[in-house]
Amino acid sequence: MHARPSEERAGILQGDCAALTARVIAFITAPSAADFDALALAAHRHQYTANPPYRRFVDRLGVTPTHWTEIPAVPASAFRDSVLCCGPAARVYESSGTTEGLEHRARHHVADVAVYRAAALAGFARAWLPGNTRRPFVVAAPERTTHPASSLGEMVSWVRETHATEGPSSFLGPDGLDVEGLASALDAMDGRPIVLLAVTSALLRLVDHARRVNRRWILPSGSVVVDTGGCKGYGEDLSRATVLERYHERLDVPATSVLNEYGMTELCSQLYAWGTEPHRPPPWLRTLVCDPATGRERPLGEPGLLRHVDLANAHSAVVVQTEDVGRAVDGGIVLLGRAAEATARGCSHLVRPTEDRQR
Amino acid sequence: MRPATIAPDALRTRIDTAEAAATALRAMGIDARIAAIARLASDWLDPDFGPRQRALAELPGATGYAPGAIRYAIDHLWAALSASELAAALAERRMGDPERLAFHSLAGNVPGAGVFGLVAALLAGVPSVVKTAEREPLLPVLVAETLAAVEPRLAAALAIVHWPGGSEIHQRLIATRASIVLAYGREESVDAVAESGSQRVLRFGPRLSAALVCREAVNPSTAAITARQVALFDQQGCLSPHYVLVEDTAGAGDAFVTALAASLRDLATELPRAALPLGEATRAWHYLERQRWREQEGAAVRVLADDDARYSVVCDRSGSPPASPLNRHVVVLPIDDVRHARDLLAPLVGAIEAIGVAAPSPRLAEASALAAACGAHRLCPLERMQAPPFSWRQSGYDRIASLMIAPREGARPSAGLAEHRRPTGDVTAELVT
Repeated sequence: MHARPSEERAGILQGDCAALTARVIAFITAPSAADFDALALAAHRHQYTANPPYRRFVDRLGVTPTHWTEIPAVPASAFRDSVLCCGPAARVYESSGTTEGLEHRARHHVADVAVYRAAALAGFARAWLPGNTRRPFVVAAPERTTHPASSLGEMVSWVRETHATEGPSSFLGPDGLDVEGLASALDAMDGRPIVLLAVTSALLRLVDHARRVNRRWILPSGSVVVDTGGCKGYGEDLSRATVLERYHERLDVPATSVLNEYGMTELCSQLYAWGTEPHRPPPWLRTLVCDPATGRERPLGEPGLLRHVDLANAHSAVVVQTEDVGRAVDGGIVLLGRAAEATARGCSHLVRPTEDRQR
Repeated sequence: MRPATIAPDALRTRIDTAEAAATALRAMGIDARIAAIARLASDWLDPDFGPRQRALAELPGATGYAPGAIRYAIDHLWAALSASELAAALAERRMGDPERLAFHSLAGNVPGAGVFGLVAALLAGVPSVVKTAEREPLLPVLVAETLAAVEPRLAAALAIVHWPGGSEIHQRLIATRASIVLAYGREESVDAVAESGSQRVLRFGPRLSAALVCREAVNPSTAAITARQVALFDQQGCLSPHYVLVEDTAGAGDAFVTALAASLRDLATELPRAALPLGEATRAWHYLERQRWREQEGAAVRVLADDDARYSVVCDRSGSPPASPLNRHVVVLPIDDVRHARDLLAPLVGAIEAIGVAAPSPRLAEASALAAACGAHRLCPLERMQAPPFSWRQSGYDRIASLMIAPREGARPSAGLAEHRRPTGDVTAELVT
């Protein structure tokens, strides 16, 4: 019996989806700069075919890209308003909420989790730990079991499953941070180098706690702190240098042993930075710095909005325009914060669209 | 050029001098003070007046506003300070005991926005320390200098100074001396000033305005007038329309939206918008992309904008209108009747400063009822939105009574329209003049 037309089309799309997944994973496994353009355009064409809101977006702009830099950038806010997914979603990751209400939070519908997993693990491995290395982990970040809709939680769980020898459950649960439990876990270090993987706000609260109880730890030589999320949720906006100083003050960890992860719900790939170095994307992610008014790329060193071309977003939106501000430098991106949090000039009334970007 | 920061010792001396001038100021009598201010206003309206020419030459560079916008601000500021306007604002008002010293913390959003406050203080007999905004330090200084030439007794009661926002040593010093604070600007700025001392604070914080276009006035001419009110000062001031409520019959609203966008396009050349810092440009981009996406996905929204986001008109029939990111992005709300406008503006009650109206006389009562329902402090002809009279109860404060030690009825922000009909700041008066 022949399949009906809609089933037939769905079958073709699923076949396209699988083929694209295979190509992207192959690229992540063995990147080749020469293939980036073709793969980005293939992802764009796939999304144009299989993702109606994306097609309407491209048609509205009236563009037919012939190079990866010409692929239209979907505004990150579109993830709040539309389902941007080629086919049914295997997982839906959600940002933690917005000031406009939980119903307006960003949702990334991921059709094939294998691509996200490959990108997350390969990115982490490239930034620091090769795939076959295992260490004791101490975690104060979302995990899959406690934060099932968090893309960060998913990633943290994959990283722990791949790289951890042992370690207690995350000290960041659904009800918040167990700072005393985290402190006790550090008390129990046995001299082997550890991975302290945490959201930045949790580590800053640990520092505050340590100051109150006059406690200080010396992380064993070779240990690494991996943090993410910035100061959001801490209540005080600190410079990166200050954050690193506080880590050093109470954990005796040099800035060169602190790895910062930058990611967002709407992306399957991440950028990493050691200490105060710029954030570096993996080969399957290219980040442009653009002028918000014209959309054009800014010169090296000039601040602008980050636009990510992420091959791992092959089944959602391959190019995402964010409101994160940064400037391009040789070898990476210097993050400068969020534009929406910049000060307004006037006394005219302004309702700020301040999304909460926790993943 | 950044204004020079006054040293704390110098600030102390300036405060002493201003306070010492209070006796001579109050001895002048109200008629003499009005006459002096009116002479000053007359000077400033003279095209050959040197300080005026200097302001016209330098303020575009300092503020980013087009020369035409600066000229508009200066002309209307001083026209509102004529002898008749001042006398009308003070009519039937019994003067109480003036506050000892006022501290004015200005915002640089609209040129001359704090001058009414300075004049009110002088008329009330209150010496003032005025902290200029970083963005616009020139006009207050020129006002004080030119006032000195007209009437030194008034000028002696004004100290125009500057220090960077957040300077605790300056803030502590002024907090111990001022008995009342007039705080303008962003919520955070107003809060910071208010929290620095225990004085009475008049809060001129963030607010917005709306325009009401009744069906009899829905035409391209009204659209052009609306566009100019949006474009002047790039919606940075509280009198700028963010929402335009248009009575829509037989598709006239759509034509109005098209005409409004065309006028904003023309004004982008005649009155170019100030260059935007990255944060504001991003807000505008974010807003516009969001509205375009809503339109694309079938929401009851129509978006007209230029490619560089210099302006936009979003016609929203969804019932959930977006908030403007400022900088010439206006939302048109088609309405069946004025009662419908009340429903749409209901979430903004308490945030609306003025309603500008385009309507024939028989319908002004409806507009007045809308303004009362919104808690607006000013109801005026659409074309006068950016040209307030001195009697305007900015943020609900009676300019003179609020500077007296025991504020009389109406000196605090009013909850509605009825309250501020009593004194001469009668909002309906603006409609009939």
